[in-house]
Amino acid sequence: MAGLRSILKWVNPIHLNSASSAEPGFPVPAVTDAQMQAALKQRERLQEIASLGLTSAGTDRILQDLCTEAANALGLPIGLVTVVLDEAQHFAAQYGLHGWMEEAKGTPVEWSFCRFSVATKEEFVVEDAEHHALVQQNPLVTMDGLRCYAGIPLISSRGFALGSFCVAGTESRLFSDSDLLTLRGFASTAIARIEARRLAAND
Amino acid sequence: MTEQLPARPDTAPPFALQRPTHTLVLESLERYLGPEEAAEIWLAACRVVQIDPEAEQTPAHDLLNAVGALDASDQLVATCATGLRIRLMSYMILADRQQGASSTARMQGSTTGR
Repeated sequence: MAGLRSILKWVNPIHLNSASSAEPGFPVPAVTDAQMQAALKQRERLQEIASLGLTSAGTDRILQDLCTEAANALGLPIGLVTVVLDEAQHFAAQYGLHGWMEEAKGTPVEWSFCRFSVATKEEFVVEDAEHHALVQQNPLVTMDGLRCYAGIPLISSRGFALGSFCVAGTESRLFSDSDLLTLRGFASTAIARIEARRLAAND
Repeated sequence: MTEQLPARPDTAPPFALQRPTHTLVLESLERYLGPEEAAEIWLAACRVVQIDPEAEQTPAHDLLNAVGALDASDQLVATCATGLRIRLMSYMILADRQQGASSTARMQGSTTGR
């Protein structure tokens, strides 16, 4: 775990998040609200999402299968490919979601865990949401019972953070280096699939 | 058009999600298109579903219909519409769910009070 943390560019160890007092856990990203808003509302990023057709009706079967496989591989109930827009996050593919989020096909953007990955272009991991400074007040935690999350940013070949490939669950848990390695593999396949759409559209 | 204000509250408690407005829609469109084109497109969408783009408060269902009309535009506008639709749907579902819960609580209260 130390290996992973050493390559992340987080700062301020005072804000370290922890699932247990003996384990330092994953650092909390230091991103200001202004930085977050600027990233989410960047016109070029939104145009990139549009050009890739990531919000088109109809779920990509391959992305859908990746969500299922990732959730199963990590033993978690939820796997998602999210696209973070200015006003909402859209579930481009999902496994395991039911209820209002499945019906709405996303959530308001201010509740999106994935927005942190979009703003920082870094992985975002929450092992115990009830004790995490950035998400403990989030309605997805307080009302819907989300407790753990690991998301890998999906960054296009043009350098824009589109959303995340992520897994989530309703019980707190620790994520190992091996878990994150597995998740990065799925994210890598997902972004390749997304980029293939661009190539297909340009043919 | 079928919804009478304030059929849904201004916020969807306990999620505290604000009722989406024309202003929110327009601001989002401006991010994608710039102010002039955004205003033009939103006006056209409102015309299609026959709602007043100047109204201070518009029922969420009517806004949802107008956002649906944006889908007929290009990919960029449709992407913007997706975000707005999710926000509107989230608000409507959660507000309705809360109203249902409140009604149930009131019914249970009146039953146990007898």
